[in-house]
Amino acid sequence: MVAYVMGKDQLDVLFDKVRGLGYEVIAPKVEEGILRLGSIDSNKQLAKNVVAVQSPGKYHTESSDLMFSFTHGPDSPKWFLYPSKRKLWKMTTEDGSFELKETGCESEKVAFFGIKPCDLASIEVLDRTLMKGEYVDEHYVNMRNKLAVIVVNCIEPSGTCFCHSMGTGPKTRGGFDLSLTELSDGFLVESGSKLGDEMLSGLGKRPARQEDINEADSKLKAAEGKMGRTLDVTNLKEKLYSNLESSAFKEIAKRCLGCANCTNECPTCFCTMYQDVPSLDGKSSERQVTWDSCFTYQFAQVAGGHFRPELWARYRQWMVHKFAYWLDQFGVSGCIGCGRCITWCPVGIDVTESVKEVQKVEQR
Amino acid sequence: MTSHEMPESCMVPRPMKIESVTDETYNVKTFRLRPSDGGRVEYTPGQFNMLYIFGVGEVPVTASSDPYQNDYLDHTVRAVGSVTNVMFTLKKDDHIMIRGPFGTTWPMEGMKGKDVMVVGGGIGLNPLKSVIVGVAKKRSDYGKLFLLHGARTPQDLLFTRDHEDWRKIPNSEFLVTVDAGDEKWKGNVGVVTTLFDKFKFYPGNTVALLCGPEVMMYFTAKELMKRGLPSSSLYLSMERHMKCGLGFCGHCQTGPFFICKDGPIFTYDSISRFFGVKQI
Repeated sequence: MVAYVMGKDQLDVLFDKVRGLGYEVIAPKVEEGILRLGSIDSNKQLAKNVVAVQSPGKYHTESSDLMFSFTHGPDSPKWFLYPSKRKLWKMTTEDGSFELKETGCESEKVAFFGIKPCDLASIEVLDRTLMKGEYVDEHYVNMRNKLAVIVVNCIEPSGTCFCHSMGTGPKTRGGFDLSLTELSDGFLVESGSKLGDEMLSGLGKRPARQEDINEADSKLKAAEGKMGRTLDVTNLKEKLYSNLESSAFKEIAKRCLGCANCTNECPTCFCTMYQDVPSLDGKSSERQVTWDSCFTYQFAQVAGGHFRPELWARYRQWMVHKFAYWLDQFGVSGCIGCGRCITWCPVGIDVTESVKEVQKVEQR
Repeated sequence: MTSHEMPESCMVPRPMKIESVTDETYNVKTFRLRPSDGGRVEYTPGQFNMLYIFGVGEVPVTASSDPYQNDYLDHTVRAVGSVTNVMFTLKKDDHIMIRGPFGTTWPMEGMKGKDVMVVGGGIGLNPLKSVIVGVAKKRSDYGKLFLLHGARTPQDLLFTRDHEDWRKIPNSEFLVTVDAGDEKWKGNVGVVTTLFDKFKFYPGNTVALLCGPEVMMYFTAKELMKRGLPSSSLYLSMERHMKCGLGFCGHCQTGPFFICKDGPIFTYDSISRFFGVKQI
């Protein structure tokens, strides 16, 4: 892979270049003091020289000397690739016959500009659920096939980050069109695809020297040690399977509000609700898919019964799914170590601590 | 990975016309459905369809019809929730739509040459009916058929109209029990495991298929294994909240399994680690 160095002034040029290639650019911007991912049509809106300060239940941004090396806000690629609400189809009925009207599979050409390695890894995890199995989610596949990714390696992790433990960062493990690493004077840029090469053409850049590569490597190495959280995942699946009836789940659930913030924030949580929205005249009906959460009371409820009536069981479902079931289902961990579930938990429950507690406390 | 690899029928319901509605019990009906487009139906015993009432919603129900024909589907439904209660207001020539079939099947091929034991608790007999019909039709392909059915009360016994035919199936035994009898009931009273002392079977040559409430399957499985049936010869039909049938919505997860696509039929061995774990 050929690496280049571009000046910091070239970030805006690159942004314009990506837009010029016909992409709707989804990039970080600062809104109400937090980093949000959203559609941006001018490089002036791009978040710069900020850093996200995160701890359990807390989040704010501060100004920074680093230009484009902040971590993340609450939004992840999931919000765009697998939106919180969408229409699956619409059907009409007349005199006992039924007609399919819309299938709602249209999608835009989208580029994620400046997502983090953990979030890029989350796309890889979603791929396995939504397009690599027996069935595929057509909307997701359409979005995914047109997707471009400009990833920024992490040299300044946040207090709730543990991507290094999960093997997803701070340096991206691949799957990007372009990757950037901020140097003291510019960005180290690597292309991962033909599209990446195209994005780079016409940019003010020079081939990277060994000292540039060394600088990036040492900053990324240092970042590994700056993670606010760590988690030992050695044999974790077996350890959790052996502790399914640990009383620690009940202790953790005493603090849990069952609010579902963690599952909404999680870039890989994919559970959804399928429901019908009929028109008032009863002549048409839309099938809608909305995000759902295993924390809600109704999630495992059926007419005449309930499979997980107690909150501790719902917490267990989420946690063991992430770190164990997922491996059996999709061959990877469902956790990418972004720490969002810790930051955005209203009561600051720390999943890395929960995993440790469950292994510690004797089964009853 | 293109859209055409997945049939549209997985996502979009297909209209079916109700050919007949049969009362099975005071709260169970069987709907016989034929494709409105005149096409055929595909189905292997154990699989389920998502039954859709236009504008109301969907419920997962296993088919109970003869598996050796492709003209119609029977779906036996108990009125318990919002969709099934609306379904109970439907009549001949009304429409129910279906998506499917989804999920794994009973081992109709694998149990050829073996004795077959079918244990259905309450409405749990529904997914086993097509096994009974299938085995009866291809009688020489299978060994002895043991048919065990338990219900809460005599009024809850399912498919009573068929019981006489089932008693006539050659080389078979049919035993029924209720949790609580009434003044007219002369049969066995007790949970389904109380039937095991009433007949002999050869554990080494028997395949057992269980469907019913989880607690019933749990104790039936334990009892059968105690009597020497290898766990590898035990099959269970699991039930969970199902919304999509495709492994996307996540509602039916039980341990690492999606009941909709890894099940609903499981070998006991494959699910034993999670089976019986409280609120899993």
